[in-house]
Amino acid sequence: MLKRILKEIRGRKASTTILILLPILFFLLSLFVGRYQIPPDIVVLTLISKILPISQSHNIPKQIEITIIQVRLPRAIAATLVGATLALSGTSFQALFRNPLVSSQILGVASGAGFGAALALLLSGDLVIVQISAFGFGMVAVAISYAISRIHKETPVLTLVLAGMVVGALFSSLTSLVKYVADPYERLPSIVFWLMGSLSGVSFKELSWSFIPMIASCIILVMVRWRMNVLSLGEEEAKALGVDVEKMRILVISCCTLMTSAAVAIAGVVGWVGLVIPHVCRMLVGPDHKILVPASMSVGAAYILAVDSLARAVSTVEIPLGVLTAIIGAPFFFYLLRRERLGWRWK
Amino acid sequence: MEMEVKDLYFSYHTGREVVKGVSFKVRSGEIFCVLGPNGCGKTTLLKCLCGILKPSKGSIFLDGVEANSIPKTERAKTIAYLPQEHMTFLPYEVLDFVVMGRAPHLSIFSTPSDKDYEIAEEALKEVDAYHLKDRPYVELSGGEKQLVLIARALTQQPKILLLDEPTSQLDLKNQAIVLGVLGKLARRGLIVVMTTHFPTHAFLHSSRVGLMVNGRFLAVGEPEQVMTEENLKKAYDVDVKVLTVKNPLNGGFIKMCIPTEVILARRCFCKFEYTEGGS
Repeated sequence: MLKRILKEIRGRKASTTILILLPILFFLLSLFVGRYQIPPDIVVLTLISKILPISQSHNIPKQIEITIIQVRLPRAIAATLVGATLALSGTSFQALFRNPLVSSQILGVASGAGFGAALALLLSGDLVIVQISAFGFGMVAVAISYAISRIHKETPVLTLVLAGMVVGALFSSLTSLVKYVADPYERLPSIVFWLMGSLSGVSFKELSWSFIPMIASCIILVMVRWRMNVLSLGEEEAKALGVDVEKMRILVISCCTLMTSAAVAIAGVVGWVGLVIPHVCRMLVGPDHKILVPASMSVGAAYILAVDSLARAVSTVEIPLGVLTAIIGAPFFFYLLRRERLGWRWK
Repeated sequence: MEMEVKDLYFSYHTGREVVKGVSFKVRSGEIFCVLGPNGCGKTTLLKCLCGILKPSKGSIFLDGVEANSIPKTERAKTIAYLPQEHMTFLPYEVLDFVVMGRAPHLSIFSTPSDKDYEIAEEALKEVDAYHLKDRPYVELSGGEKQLVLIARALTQQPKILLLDEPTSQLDLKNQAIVLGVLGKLARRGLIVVMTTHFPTHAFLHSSRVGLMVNGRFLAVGEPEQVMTEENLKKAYDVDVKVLTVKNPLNGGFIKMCIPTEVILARRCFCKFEYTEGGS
């Protein structure tokens, strides 16, 4: 027994340390990087001055403080949350649907939220309303998918996925309709930019409300993570093992929808994270969800933090986050596909 | 422990009735074989017994308690079910796979403890598959997979083991290993209910047999009484000879079934004596 634990620690010590340090490293990095050049020591000093009362002795310019505390810090926190939740919901859905091609958007969250945001941008343009509308429509889309799939009282996984595709297509065309009627000089650009996904302009005010659904869902999913192993065996076997499959499914889908909707509401449509990160993590730590779930949160957070830093640093004009995640994600996924078998066996 | 099935019916949503009034009783230490042609409802019957499917009529009593009144998790602590084909997509390590059998014993928010891993390791030792514990499940051979599945079922610490054709995809050696393990478990007091396509297995390994045709039991009881040439002919619609073979090890007798056509085609190379009617 002790041997097993020791072996586990030895085998996983390195990866555990890396998985804890990775997001912290990229979090700090994203505070240092930006168009407005601030020396690293000043950044550190500013952060410390917020916790310890030393600001009197070192005179930190107001502008630097605002840049770091009001702009970069909320943005880094948002990136962490968005990355962790998108990757976690991708991992959960891949286990739940027993399908490696499924991502956090399979049930139409992103399409619904995209439509909600586009509609709000068309009608009002107030950022808070846009976020709430995106959040609401994201959940409405999943609720419709789930309702459609329940025609036959029970919910077979296949019906659910198909219903998600139908609802996703419906909301995508509704978004196109909104774009079509939008004023092409004022409203349309903001809709298009929103749909590309970006973390620019995130403030503590926006984070304050989306923080709660994201953290709560993450905690619940982390707590039930071992059950995802059992769910991934398939409906019948999970039932035979005494698991209430229908209840678990509703729980996982609700949590994923809640946090994905919140993530999309803050960051817009950021693709590829929910699909690629779970595969990367499965290669790093194996398929056991006991470890895979925390790992995917860590890697997801680090990935979005890194990509967002890149989006800000690479050129004078910020590249939309959603565009960059796909540009980096797609070839990387292809590389993994060639190298390994993604930890899935089709048999 | 005793499981009693009384007049069990099951029909799918489409209205097709698959199980039509099955009754039988099994006690601790018995191996009960369900025999019957393809599509006669054997698998459906097992799924009803373990609670994956809800019978439309009739009852299952576990020590006199109606099974459908028992909560799902409690039921899974008593009954373990092994599907015919396990399709897993994720390459779980065998120990991680086996420990999933602890699911009914663990609350929804917990992960298996050291104690649970110990139980899983014990189960693997029980079926002589401990050496496989670090291998990915998907890379195992058919026989190894079956043993690991049995270990997972044992990790549930059940009193009843339901197996759907545990030997149908195994070679001769692995059949012997799996059936040997099942015999050992039954002797330790488990109820083993299994479906099989090999009448000879039923003769060799089971204490009681249910011969199923079209959703009903044609006959239930001791193998010798149930598996007569007449009954097998009715069930499988093929002429069968029940042969009695001298056991070379202890001088007793062993029965086996061979379709008459096969014997004729081979021009009866067999030098065994066989008697009509399987007496």
